[in-house]
Amino acid sequence: MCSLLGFFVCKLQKIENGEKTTSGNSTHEEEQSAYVSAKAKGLVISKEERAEMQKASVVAAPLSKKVEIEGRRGKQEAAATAGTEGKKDAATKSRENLSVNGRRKRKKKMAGVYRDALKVILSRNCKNFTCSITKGSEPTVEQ
Amino acid sequence: MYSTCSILPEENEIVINYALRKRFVKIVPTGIEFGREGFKKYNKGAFRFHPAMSDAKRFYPHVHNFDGEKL
Repeated sequence: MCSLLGFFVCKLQKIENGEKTTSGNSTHEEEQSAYVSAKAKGLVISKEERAEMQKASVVAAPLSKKVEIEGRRGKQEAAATAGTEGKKDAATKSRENLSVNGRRKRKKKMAGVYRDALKVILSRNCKNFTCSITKGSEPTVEQ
Repeated sequence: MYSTCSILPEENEIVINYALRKRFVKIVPTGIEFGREGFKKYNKGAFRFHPAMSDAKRFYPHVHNFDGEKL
């Protein structure tokens, strides 16, 4: 897109073999050999390896995320269920066997927990804003 | 010679930076004695360009006293 606001001019020149750049940086061959030696030392991680590492770290530590979001009750449940994968304790069993009313009450309670967590997050990240949350509506943030 | 009639870094410095990374080229002085230097960083450091980008030149009508034109 052309504009009437100004121009830009830059002169480029082809680098000859073995020639250094005007800024004194290394040539392409030097950079390639530096990359190869860094890779051999394990200092360079490819995109695929990085993605695998991130995947492994997410699988290894899911509980820490749950503790942040679910609040105090979540902490207690997470501590109780930590290390007991595959086994259901009494709290989990009673939660799964709740009636319709019980499930509705629990949903309301969790909504309050999420609302409190949202207040904390907003107050930390948006110090110049006031957050108002009224019952039955989405939380609003005003400056 | 790379020249545009744009002041957007997306059309100027970012393109030159790409050429420096992907092609065997270097920036040399233009020989133009007036004009502002090219950006070495942009958007509060989100983009950082090659130090030689200062050899590129930017021209603004309100600074260098010429009428804007379309190339």
